[in-house]
Amino acid sequence: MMISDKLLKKFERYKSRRMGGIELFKFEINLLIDPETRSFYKEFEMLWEITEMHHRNEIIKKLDRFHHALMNDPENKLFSNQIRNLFP
Amino acid sequence: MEAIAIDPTIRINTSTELEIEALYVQVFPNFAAHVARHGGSLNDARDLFHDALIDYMEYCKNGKPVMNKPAYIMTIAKNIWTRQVKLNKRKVSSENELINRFPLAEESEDRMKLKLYNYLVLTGRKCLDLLSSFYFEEKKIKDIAHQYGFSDSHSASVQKYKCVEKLRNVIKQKSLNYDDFG
Repeated sequence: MMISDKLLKKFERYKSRRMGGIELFKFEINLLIDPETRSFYKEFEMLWEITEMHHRNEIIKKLDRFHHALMNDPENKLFSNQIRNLFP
Repeated sequence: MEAIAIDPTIRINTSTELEIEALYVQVFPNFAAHVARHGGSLNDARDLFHDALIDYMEYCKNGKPVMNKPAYIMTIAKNIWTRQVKLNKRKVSSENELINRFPLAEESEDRMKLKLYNYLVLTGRKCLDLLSSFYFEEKKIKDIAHQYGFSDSHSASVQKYKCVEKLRNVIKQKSLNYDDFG
């Protein structure tokens, strides 16, 4: 079964902490009492966490490339030597 | 601070990329020295420093002000290092204990998440990229439409919905068959 667009937007607001007041209260009650919403939410939460993992991994790849470039920059051997000398 | 001549294609693609690069050059040597003094390797220092930078970027994204950025990053990095050392010690001390043979529910969930992630990177990478732009880079819909080549914002929204459904279905299916999912 497909998630309705309305419910998806609620999940997104909830996960990004943009839901508040009575809407938040109603949403959390609904999660407790409605097994279908709860099941959809669990799947969405997993999707959110996996997307976050992807986001972090992509940044780490860029930082790794930057680190590599920095440590192998012929113009800045002083920097890389300073670091390498710390680790005999 | 030294100027660094780095290939411009290697820039870290965030709105604060130049700032991050400058902080990298400024703080990393101190953190590396800290890790070296405590018996860690250069790879340890690099990996944990990258985790610290990501935490810093997350913190800044929420609009929280940081007075002394280098000191703040150094504190996060040192905390991550301390946590890692404790974790490694615990792993070594319990290596032969019975508890280690039965993964905790949390570890099991993390492993499942990693397997799902590895699967989705192969089968749904474009969707992961798109959702990452929406949820974590917090780009505007019209910018996302432009970046991914959609004709307008509406098409980008529709594609986002399709991606959620596609990935959710994979997660649902693979989670149910987790035991067979390798």
